[in-house]
Amino acid sequence: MTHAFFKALLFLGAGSVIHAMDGQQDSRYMGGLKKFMPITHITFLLACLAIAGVPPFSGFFSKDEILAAAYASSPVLYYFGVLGALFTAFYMFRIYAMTFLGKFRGTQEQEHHLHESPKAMTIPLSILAVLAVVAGFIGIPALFAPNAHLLEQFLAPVFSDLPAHSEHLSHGTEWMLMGVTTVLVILSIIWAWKKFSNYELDATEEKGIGKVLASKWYVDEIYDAVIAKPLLKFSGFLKNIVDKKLIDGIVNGTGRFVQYSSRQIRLVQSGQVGGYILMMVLSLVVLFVAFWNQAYILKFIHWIFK
Amino acid sequence: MNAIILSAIFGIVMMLSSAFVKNTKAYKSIALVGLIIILLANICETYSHSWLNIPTYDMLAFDRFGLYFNTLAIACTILFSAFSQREIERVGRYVGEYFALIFFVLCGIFILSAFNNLLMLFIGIEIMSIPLYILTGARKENLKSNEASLKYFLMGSFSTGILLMGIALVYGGTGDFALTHHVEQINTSIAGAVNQRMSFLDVAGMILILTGMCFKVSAAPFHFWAPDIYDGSPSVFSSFMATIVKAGAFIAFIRLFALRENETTILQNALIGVDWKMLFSIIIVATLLFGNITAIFQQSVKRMLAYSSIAQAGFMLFALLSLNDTAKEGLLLYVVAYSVATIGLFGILAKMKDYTLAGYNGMAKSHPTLAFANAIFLLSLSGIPLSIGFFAKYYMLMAVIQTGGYMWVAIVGIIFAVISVFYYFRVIWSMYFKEGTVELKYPATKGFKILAVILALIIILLGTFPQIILNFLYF
Amino acid sequence: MIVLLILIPVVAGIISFFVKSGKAARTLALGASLLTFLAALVLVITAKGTVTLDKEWLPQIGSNFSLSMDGMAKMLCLLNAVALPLILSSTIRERYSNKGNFFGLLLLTQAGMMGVFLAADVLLFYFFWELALIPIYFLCSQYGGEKKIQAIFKFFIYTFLGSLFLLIGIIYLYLKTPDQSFALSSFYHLHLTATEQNIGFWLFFLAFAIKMPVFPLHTWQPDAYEQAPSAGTMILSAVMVKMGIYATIRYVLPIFPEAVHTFNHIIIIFAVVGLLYASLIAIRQDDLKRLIAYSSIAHIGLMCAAVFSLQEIGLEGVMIQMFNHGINVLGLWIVASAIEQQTGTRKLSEMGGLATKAPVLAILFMIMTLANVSLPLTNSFIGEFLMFNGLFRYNIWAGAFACVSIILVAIYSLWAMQKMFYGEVSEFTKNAVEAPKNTQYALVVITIVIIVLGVYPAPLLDLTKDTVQAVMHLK
Repeated sequence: MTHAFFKALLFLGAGSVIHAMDGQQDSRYMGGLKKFMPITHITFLLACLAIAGVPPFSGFFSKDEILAAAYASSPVLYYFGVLGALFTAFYMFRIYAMTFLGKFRGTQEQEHHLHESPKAMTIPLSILAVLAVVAGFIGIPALFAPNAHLLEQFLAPVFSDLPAHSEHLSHGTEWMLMGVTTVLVILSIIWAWKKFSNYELDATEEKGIGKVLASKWYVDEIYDAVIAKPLLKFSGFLKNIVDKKLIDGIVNGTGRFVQYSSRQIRLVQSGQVGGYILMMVLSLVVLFVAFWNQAYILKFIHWIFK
Repeated sequence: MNAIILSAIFGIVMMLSSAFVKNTKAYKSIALVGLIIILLANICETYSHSWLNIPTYDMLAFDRFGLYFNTLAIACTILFSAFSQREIERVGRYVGEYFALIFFVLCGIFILSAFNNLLMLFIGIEIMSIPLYILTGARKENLKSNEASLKYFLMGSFSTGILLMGIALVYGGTGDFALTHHVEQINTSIAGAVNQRMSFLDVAGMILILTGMCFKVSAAPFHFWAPDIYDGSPSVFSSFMATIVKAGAFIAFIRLFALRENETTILQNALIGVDWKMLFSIIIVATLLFGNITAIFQQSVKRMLAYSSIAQAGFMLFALLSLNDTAKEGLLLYVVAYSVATIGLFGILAKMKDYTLAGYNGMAKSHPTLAFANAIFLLSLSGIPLSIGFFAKYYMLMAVIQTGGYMWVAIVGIIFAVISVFYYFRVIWSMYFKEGTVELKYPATKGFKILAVILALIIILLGTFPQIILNFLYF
Repeated sequence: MIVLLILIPVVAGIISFFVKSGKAARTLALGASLLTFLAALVLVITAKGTVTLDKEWLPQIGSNFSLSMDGMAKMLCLLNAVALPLILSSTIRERYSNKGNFFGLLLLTQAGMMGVFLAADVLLFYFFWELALIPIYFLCSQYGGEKKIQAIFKFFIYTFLGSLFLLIGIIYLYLKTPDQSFALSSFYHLHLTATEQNIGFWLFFLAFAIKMPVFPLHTWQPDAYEQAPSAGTMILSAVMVKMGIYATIRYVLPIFPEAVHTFNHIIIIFAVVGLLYASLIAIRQDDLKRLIAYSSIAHIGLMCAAVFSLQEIGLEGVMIQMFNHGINVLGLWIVASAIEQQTGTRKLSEMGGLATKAPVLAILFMIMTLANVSLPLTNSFIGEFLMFNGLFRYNIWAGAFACVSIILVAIYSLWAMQKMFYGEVSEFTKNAVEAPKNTQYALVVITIVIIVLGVYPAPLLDLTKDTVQAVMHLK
């Protein structure tokens, strides 16, 4: 749940930068924004640290808890988790470094346009940044301060009947895991920092795996193809076909069917007395027949209405 | 007995006064006075003060249910004539005679609420119907009115024929016109009935009588006359026919079947498994179907009301399906609920220039009082709580569910109730949500508006405290 | 005292119809709603345990005018009471043709909903259930958007169908009560067979499911929310939708425990599917109002699933979420209607760059959205967390699928924010200014509530503890 804080923070930070860049979204054309937008810079940095899971930011504890839990259930899951964490740390800092460090690579015009975002953006940014930093502490695991799981205490009336965590790793293992991930994360951060802080626009393209890793285009494309597009398509399908045509169609169709049958049944009322009397006599016959066969009819009706 | 005799007397008084009193304004006063006297006399009789008594040799039996129904019917007639007196005067020249005919119709209804003999049933029905044929054609120069009258007469005679045939068959089957017997006779007949089966003649006769009665209450598939005749006859008389007359026919209907089920033939019914519920459920479903579905398409509010009256008859038939105490109470409530609302709607309709839905456009702006009253009437007919219409429907549903095994009729009923909301609310849309100007053919006086609001308030009052009506049955 | 909660809005509402001047009607409505709020607050704070009131109403059929106010009722009355002043103060500048009418209908709606939350008699509950519907129907149909008549009528007829099924269910159970009484307690002590429970369960739950609405009965909601005037939308989604959840907890769970255990799986499946379905559709919505509508359907789906998970912890979550979702969605609607007023469009794609033009509005919208996403430290986090927890305990897969919705909610919320606030200033937004002060004040109040309850939700949990205990341990 701490995730929500820094995710929101990142989104807003990115929005703030794009705003400043007058709609430019490509971080290759940014750089050096540190001096133009200090607040955005700091908050963005905090968010990156948090999401990368650097202690003591909020992401650290939650990530650590998740990884510990994963380790408890299966080491394979844990390794994937660590790998994911490393990737996250790497690409976050790549973005950070490209955007805020180094020299400005945009056009002259954009450089003039650069400015700190209005308060509407910076205030929520700051609030979220504070939350992103401290939110971790309320979830500090028992490892650091026994019985200090503030969140649990704080929600004590709610969780009073919660069973204790079923699987607890020994503290030693937890320390070990924590240390390994932290070191790896920090290493990957440093790598990214070094690599991209002085990024130049015409720098030679990376080769091989570096190219894939470094190029956010691939990530975006994969993300686009695997998640975003199908998701959008699927929800579009639900919205336009299932909801509008199928469900609403049935609902409105019922109404239309009633109107249609109204138009048809109305025709029985022809205004001809002879016709009416014929109908009456026929119905009389039907009543007679129905009366002497009512047992079957009732059985049929009860079969319909279960 | 009070009511029957007095209504006949006042009918004659009205006829005479139409010959001797020249002032047309006086008729309605005389009629109102007459109605109030009948009402009082009937209430006295309910508390066992019957002054006018003629030995009827058990052909009529006055019980609390019938008498109480009379009170409600007279009260509704008073409301009707107070609310639409001006329209009655505008129908034609023979105003006194219209009132006389209304009294005769009432006389027939009073007989129907007390009959204890199939012959009295027949006589009551005829006394009730014949004046109606005349009232339908009251607008002599109007071709539609004439056509309606003739149609009504033709089909009415046909149904009377069926009814008579049924009575004859029942007589052939049982050797008796009477519905109930004295206690000793019942005992002997029960003793003898163990081996006796209800004869084919009896059953066939009852089905024919049922058909005839279904015609009178405009239950499908014998309802075809209703829309044409309600549409063709002058609006005031459509209103009278659709409400009080229909209620009278219903009271005869339930009396017939309740008595025959409870008194003489229940054992025989049990023996051969004669169960009218099945037939009634078929008729109910057909009535609800024809009434509701056809009403949706109507563009004329008057015709829509005609179909709505058929649809409401479908709900009233729930009482005949269940035939228990709840059903009887519920029928009384329903009669009041339906009559007051329909009288109000027709009363306002009669003032309108344009009977179509478009004619109601923007009524809330130009005539807010009438629109409000109309809205309450329509809400009551659709059975929204806080209006008496809700309790009426509630009692009917309760009666059916109590019966057991016929829950499906209740479910079909509510589905059609939902459909009915559609056409009732179309009028509300026109009045409240659409732009337009309403033109009245006749100006709505202050008195008329006050009466409309009073009718609406009656509906709300009874809808909040329905025991005002029901308490009388328990005292 | 308890009756004041209903009486104040009813009386003020009726008076309001006769107030000609718009200003006076506004003052009256605001005063009355504040008075109701005060009364509710005093009651909630001072009253210990359950407050009851019992007056004779319809002794013949065993129905009393009895109100009772336990924890859940207290909380929802408070929500209802707090919602109206906020709605009024934020929409007070909108122009309506007949303000007296508008405020009168709004107040009557509030009264009806109060009655629903307070009623301890099933017939009375049904009464209020319908009575809340009628004024809101008129309100929305009269003052809504261009397709208002059809859209609102769809809503009306949908709910009316449901409530008639409910009526049948009520009568069905009533006939089974030993003492022929509508009192809630005698309904609680019914001994029903399995079949009876199943029938009753569906008859009751259908009505509530339509009101909530649960997938696939939800299609009335986006249309109605889109077409209704903003005040109508607010009261519909903030309070009225909670009636469905409330009634399920109050009636369905205790009366049909075995049927609930039989059918809860299928209902949870529908609820969770609906949750994901609505969230997915929200992703593609370009219309701000429809987006919020689908988001609301998703939240309600989660609540419904949590109710039927039959876990104490889930139920606790539902309790506080009912209140919190009411507050949040109210805030969202207020912001949305302010934005619509400023820009003249509801399309997200046309709203770019609003943050530069109206930063305060942007911040407020962001807060509401974050609360809608149930970010920690906003009020809905706790409720949602508890509900997920309950679902996980019921079934890990149900919980897992439900949790996917968290991501979806975040996606559509953040996309919506991006589209609206960042990017190019469009021609619609170029003239936008900050929302008027009254709207801002209302939003600030809501923000305070969001944060206070997010940080310290214990009062709500304590308040509703008794109901949760009662429901979980009744049988």
